[in-house]
Amino acid sequence: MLTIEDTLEGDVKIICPTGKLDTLTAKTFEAHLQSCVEDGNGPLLVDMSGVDYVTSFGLRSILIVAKKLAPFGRKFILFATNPSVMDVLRVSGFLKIVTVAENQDAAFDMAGLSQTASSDP
Amino acid sequence: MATAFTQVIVGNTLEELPQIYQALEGFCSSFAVPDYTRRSILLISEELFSNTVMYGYPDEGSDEIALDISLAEGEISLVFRNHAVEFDSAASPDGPDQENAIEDHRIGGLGLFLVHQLAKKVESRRQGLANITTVTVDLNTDDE
Repeated sequence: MLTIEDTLEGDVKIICPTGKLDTLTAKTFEAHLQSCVEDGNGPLLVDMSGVDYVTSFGLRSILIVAKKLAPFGRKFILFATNPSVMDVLRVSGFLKIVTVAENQDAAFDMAGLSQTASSDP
Repeated sequence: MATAFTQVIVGNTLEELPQIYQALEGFCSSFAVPDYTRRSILLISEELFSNTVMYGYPDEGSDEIALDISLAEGEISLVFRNHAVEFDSAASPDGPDQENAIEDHRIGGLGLFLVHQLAKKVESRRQGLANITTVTVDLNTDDE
């Protein structure tokens, strides 16, 4: 089971999946990410705090999207990843190939965004 | 220590995955399996089950996939039996190449790589038309 909501922090879209990123849900997540890739040209930030389980199918979705963004210099950053998901990212070697920030502020910093400025009118 | 054992038999479709989860969660709850080990065996079982279902039946035939879960002497044993095409799960694939640019990373093989990273031992054999894969995981495996 996976639900996905997008929130706006200023003009920056943050993708917020909740549930499991597994065999049954990875395609839904990937399709959502793809639509976000096509909708804009800025960084893609994913709030992972609601994801409690990730399998190789979830990792594939992340890698496919990261590969699409990289040639254009667009940042793809996961943040607020819970410890059990972080274990899978570490064991799989993904921590070396995908950017993971501790929290939203750090993600904005890594993306070269000013959270305060982007929130101001 | 007595052996704890349970078995689940499901069809070879991804829709059966929740039954695998349910059997594993029930086993872990009954025998107080530590959380890290619980998460490891859930992930291992899902990866092997999904790989079998998605790639093991090119003729789209129906099959039963059995998973035996047992606990003895500080180890959990997962035994998968199916009649999919012959596949050696014991052969460990390479993981992501840390030196490559992200555009060059391969997508395939990640699930089996994860299985080998999380397991203590992965054995695979062909018996007649059956694939039998046995995965052993330390009960007290901890990421600390």
